[in-house]
Amino acid sequence: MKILTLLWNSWKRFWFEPCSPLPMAVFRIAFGLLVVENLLLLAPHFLFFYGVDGLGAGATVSKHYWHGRTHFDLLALLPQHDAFVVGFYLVLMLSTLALIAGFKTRYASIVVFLGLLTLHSHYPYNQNGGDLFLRLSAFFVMMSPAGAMLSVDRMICKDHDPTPPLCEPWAQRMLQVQLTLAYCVTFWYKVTGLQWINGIAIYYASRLDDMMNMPVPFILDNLSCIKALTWSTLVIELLLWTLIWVPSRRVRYPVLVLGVLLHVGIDWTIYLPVFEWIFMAAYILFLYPEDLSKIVDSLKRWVDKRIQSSRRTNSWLPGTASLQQSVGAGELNSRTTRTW
Amino acid sequence: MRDSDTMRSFSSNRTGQVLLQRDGCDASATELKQAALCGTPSKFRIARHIGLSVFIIAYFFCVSASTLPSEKLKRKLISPVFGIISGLGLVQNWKLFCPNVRRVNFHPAATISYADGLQELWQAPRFDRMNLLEHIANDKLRRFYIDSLSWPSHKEYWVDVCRAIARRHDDAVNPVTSVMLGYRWVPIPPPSEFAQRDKLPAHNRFFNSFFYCDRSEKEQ
Repeated sequence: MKILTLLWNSWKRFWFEPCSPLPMAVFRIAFGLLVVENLLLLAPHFLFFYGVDGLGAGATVSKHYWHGRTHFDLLALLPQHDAFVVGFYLVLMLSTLALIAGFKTRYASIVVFLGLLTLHSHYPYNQNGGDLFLRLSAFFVMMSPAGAMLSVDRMICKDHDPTPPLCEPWAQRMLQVQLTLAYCVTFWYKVTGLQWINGIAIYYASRLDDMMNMPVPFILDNLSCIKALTWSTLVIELLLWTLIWVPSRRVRYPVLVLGVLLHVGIDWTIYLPVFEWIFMAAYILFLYPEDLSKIVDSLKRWVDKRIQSSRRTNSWLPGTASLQQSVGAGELNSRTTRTW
Repeated sequence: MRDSDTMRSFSSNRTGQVLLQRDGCDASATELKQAALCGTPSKFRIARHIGLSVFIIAYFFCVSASTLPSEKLKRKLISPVFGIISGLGLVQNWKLFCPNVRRVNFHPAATISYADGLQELWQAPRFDRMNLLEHIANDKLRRFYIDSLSWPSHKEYWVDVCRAIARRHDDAVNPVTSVMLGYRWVPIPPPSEFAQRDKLPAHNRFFNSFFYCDRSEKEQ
């Protein structure tokens, strides 16, 4: 009985002990920016995939992909006209922008989730792991208090309390577990592949000509380096679902840095937009709120500094017009010098 | 819980703590925090936590099962709820470059035949010849043409693609009679014949995977 109580208390502490929603708020912004990027990438071909005369033949997708199962598809509910398809795109984009700003966060996040779900359900053949993780993130952001900080909602809240709020972090924890589950699954799939064990997987991955991104001199043209990179990928992926849970900063943060290096390296070599960045964005959830708050504060200070300096510049600009009207050029020059 | 509720409930945190101490309750800091946070009686809070715990366990059971390599086991474990998790877009597949990376470079292509016997070659966008900006603009097309269309697991879609190609090239005077879909490909040289990244062989082999013929045209 005692063991059960102990387990229940540990379970409660992990999922429900209130903590700062700052990591989720920062993640909300990063996630929103990546959804915008994804939508912009989709823009040139949106009607090709989702338009009435596009490739997204509803009957084929419904029959062969969904096998007649129920799925959520807003586009199927709209009248069959391209104007509605474009309208759907615009609503999704606006909701994402609202989510980034933290304006009506809960509603915006629900629309974003349903929008991303529709993009997947209506036409699943242009989706990859990046889209999947975006959709999963939307699912958890929707259920989290992501708008409790760094948001318009907080600014306009009537009984605004200057003290940072505390919230139950279960949605954040679910997203953390989800991320590590993805690394765990991909790790086990990889170790069953001979290419990964033999150290040549990156040789082939870096030679897929349709995905080639930036040139990497020497490293990817040397077999020993390629083998070292392949095996280090496996080691880093192993660390990303094991040691990442160690509470000590000395262990967790170096693992996160290794994860960032892995994803930046992949992104540099192989063109996989959104995919690498959404995984890196999810690392924010593993930062301690107090550390994250220091980063956010220094960012705020930097932004404030920039705004102040631009204000100083701008205060000179409107002044120029009025000064030009009222005083002579000599006085204008002296004022300009003083402002600078 | 709405965001504003969360904020409001925290503002009463200190007050809540004082009240509980006055009543002589022996509450831990966590419980105090939770009492303040939720602003709900503890019975409801416990019920809420139990409900959420069930949701968390069910979610991770389903998604973990959906990532299993064995289709049989997967079906056995989650078949009653598969409709729900797939409908919500929660079915997962983290197999990028797993278990092995593909060893061919290719691009889809099709031979279009016209009524007068003329043949024309159609090619999907050549992602291997694009610069970074073109890559960015066409990434979704790459996912469709390379990651989906060309694989036999998506063969059910080949008819639609052939029809789309035929529609795009159709001419009232000289109509399209058939479309032969396939791809141009080349194997990536194995590491024993080490190929530099910038000196990969051209896609010089052709493989036809699907033949589409417009029956209505034939009948006429």
